[in-house]
Amino acid sequence: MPFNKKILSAAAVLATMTTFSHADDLNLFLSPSPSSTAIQSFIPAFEKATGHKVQVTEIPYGEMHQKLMLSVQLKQGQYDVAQFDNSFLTPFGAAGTMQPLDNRIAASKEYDISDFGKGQQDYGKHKGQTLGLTLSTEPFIQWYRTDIYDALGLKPATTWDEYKANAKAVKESGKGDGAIFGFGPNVSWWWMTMVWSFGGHLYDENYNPTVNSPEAIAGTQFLKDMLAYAPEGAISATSDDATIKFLSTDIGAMVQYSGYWGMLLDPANQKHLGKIGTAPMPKGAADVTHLAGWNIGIPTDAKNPDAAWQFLEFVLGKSNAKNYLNAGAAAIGRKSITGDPELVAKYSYLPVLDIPEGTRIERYPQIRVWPEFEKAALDTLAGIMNGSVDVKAGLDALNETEKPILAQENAK
Amino acid sequence: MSAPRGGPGSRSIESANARLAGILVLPAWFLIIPVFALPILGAFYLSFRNETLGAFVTARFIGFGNYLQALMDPRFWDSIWVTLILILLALIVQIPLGIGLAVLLHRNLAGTQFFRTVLIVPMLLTPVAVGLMWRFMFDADLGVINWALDRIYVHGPNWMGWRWPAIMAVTIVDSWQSIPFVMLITLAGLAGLPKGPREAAAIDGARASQIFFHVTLPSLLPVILVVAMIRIIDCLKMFDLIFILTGKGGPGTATQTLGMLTYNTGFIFFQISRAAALGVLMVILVAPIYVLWRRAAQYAR
Amino acid sequence: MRTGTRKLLANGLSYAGLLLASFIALFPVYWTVSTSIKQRDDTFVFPPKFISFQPTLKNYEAIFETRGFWQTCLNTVVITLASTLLCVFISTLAAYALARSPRFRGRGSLEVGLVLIRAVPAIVIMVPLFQIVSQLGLYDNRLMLIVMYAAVNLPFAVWLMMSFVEQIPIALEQSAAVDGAKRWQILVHVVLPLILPGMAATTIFVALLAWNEFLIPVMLAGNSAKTLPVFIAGFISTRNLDWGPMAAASALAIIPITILTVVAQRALVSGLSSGAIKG
Repeated sequence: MPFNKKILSAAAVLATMTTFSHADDLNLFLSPSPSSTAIQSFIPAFEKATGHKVQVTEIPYGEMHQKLMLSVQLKQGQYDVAQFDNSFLTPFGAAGTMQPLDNRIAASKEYDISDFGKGQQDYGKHKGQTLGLTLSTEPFIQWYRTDIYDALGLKPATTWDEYKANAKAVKESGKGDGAIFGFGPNVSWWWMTMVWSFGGHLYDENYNPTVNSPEAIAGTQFLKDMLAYAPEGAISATSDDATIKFLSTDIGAMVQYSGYWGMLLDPANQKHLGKIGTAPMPKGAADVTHLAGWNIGIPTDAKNPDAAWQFLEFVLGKSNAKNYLNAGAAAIGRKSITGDPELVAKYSYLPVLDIPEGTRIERYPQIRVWPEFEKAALDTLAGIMNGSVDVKAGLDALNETEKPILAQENAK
Repeated sequence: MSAPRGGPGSRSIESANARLAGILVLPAWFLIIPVFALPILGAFYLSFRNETLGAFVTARFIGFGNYLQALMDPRFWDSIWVTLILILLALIVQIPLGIGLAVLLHRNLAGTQFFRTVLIVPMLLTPVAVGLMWRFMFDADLGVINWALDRIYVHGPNWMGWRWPAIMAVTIVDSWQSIPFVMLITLAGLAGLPKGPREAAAIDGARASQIFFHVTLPSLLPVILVVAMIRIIDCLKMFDLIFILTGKGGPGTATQTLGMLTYNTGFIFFQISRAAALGVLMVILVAPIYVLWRRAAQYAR
Repeated sequence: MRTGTRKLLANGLSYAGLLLASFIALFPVYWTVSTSIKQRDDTFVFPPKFISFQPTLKNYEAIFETRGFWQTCLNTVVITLASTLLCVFISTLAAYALARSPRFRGRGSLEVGLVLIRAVPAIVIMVPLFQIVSQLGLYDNRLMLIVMYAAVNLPFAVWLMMSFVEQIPIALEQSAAVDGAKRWQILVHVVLPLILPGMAATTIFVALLAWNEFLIPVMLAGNSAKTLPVFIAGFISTRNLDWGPMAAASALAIIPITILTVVAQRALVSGLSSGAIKG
């Protein structure tokens, strides 16, 4: 770790030790992530440029959203800038947790929303209002081991059938396991992607669950079939576990959020450096891109919203976009970034973030009962994955379970 | 319990004592009321409303709605089932092994003090750290446990992938931490037993095992009962371990105890009123155990 | 002769059992510590490496350089110590009252209150507690955590102290009273010296419980009052999940306890045996 970073962390410790905050302090609410680390690296420069003092609170993912929501609900004005996951856009919107940013965005040349692709401009929108800027653009993409694929004469898959065939070829060649998903506690991410990609939906426009449609069953069946080509522990692997297994053992391919690319920056994860290729996610019956990634915005009770916007413009504006990426963040899908040859040479996955216009972009389901919906799905999927429940029977039962949960979405 | 008795003017001493006692316990009340009494009442109040963390709906009283919903929810019964299974397994595994170790230590062989020290280490360690380490040891691909099982020609399961292995994993780690407790209390119980009956039995020609099962064990019964009650209460409270080891109750709901369901409902689903109702149901579940515990403790003394 | 062989056999079996149990008790501790000094390549291998690896302190360096780690350590130590002192002080007073006065106003409800704190899972009160604490602006406040910790450990401390007070012959206090000593003099000069060892044992226990506490800080603390168990648990939700630093952080939490256990084992054993089974 370089010397100036040490000083930085020492200064950060000192900063958190001061309990009293000043009126022009800026309080950031972040979650440990590459994005958060990158944001924090801009603090000294911002403080120098503006005279604001910046404080940081980092809360682990599992607790952050509840804490932020409650803090805003109690109008404590604790935070001026808050990072949040896109899946919480709707709960936050319903609870009035974040301020609409549309006027500020429209007025900001520095932020330049037109630098984003059309679909990606809406990434932080809830009911037509932008509640958060894009903090990272992380579509599900295909990762594959170029050395293994080359040796076997394989090409990155364009369809799920090819993906399965590749996995089978790798497994049978004895060069490693075929492919991995996170089949464990995060399997819902892959599951909903498969449901969409095979042409299904999780629920209809009246919030009736449709998780046992033929398309959903086919997608789920495919997911389960892929277990046969995964390493044994994959069935309980989290998304992180799956990535670490892919980066540290021999596995042909993985479908994973592009944001995990940052893990390759860690010297500990560079075992296969230079041998990892990326390609768009294979297609099924529908051309779907599952787009995820963080948002960041200004809580409604922020004491210092103008300074907060100043900070967001500073870190996420066009001028600093390259520096932001180079600070280790998961990339933001600005066209000026994904098309920059110098950056592409360094981060080979960037072109995949330039999502083609024709594809259907699916975000995390925008319903406020999503956490409960997802948990019920996970409960079922665990049984389906380990074979204790039949795919169709499991999804039929799940459809019933989700009915009362989704019904809450209509409650006033 | 010893109390001052007899002597001249003992009544006035007693009333002075009572006044002093009332003052001495005041600070304790200052802790109990805000930290415990008020929140319990708060939970009770919340449980009859429909509040959510994000205030999605207009908050109002809905009577027993949350309770009815809980009682009709299969997830609730499933969590009760998981909780009971974990308690049952804990008792079956921990009580015999704890007693066994206590008996070995009670033989007072050379080095007993060393063994006793080593054996109580697990119960004092940070549960979060313990949960993490065991999680790593249980890993299906790289874990040391399945490696060791392989050595003895047993194919280890994917511990966190299936319901029963996950429940077993929780039981194993909980036992690792709690057997020392059972052992220590039983050891103290053994030390407190009068030698007479056992010696008499030995003179009558009874074998060691007969003495143990017919003399020692019955007289240890009250202590064992107390230990069992405490273990039941602590199993109901178990949170850190499941939170870490199985990722908040996984796979699926396999290890989602009532406590974990309460946490998930309140803090993951934002349904704080429903969570409060689950909490109240939990208190109701603890109540009979509490009564038994008091009985057993009085009996043991 | 025959009984001699039998005894030898029994002793042998006893030792075998104790050794096996000790191995099982200590192996995870060894595994934590050894993983914490392994290179990443030695951690993620199969079969696992037990002794033959190149030790490294890199994982510890990573932990020490983690933002907020020293703050977390300081918090843990300060909150543990302060809450322990508060808890032991309050519980000693209450324990004396409960042990010496069979009847006083509120005795029954105090006893029930203590049992409730011990028996009711803390998760039950977390939602309202969260709201109260946030509303008072005490979220992520160290002082608040100190009070919380002291409260949850109160029952255990009170019961433990009661057993120590009960061991003091009442006659000592009575004869001091006959000699004309005032109440407070009796408390300070007669009772206090006799229960000091008990207070020391209670302190060790409560400190251990406080050190390990997880639910309260994970719910009621953010960054500035974060404690070590929450820090460790935070590894799970971070993307760069890595066993080396995680083991290092775990080792930092459990090594002090292991040492304390060895040093203070006599007090721990007696305390555990007497305080735990009250109710």
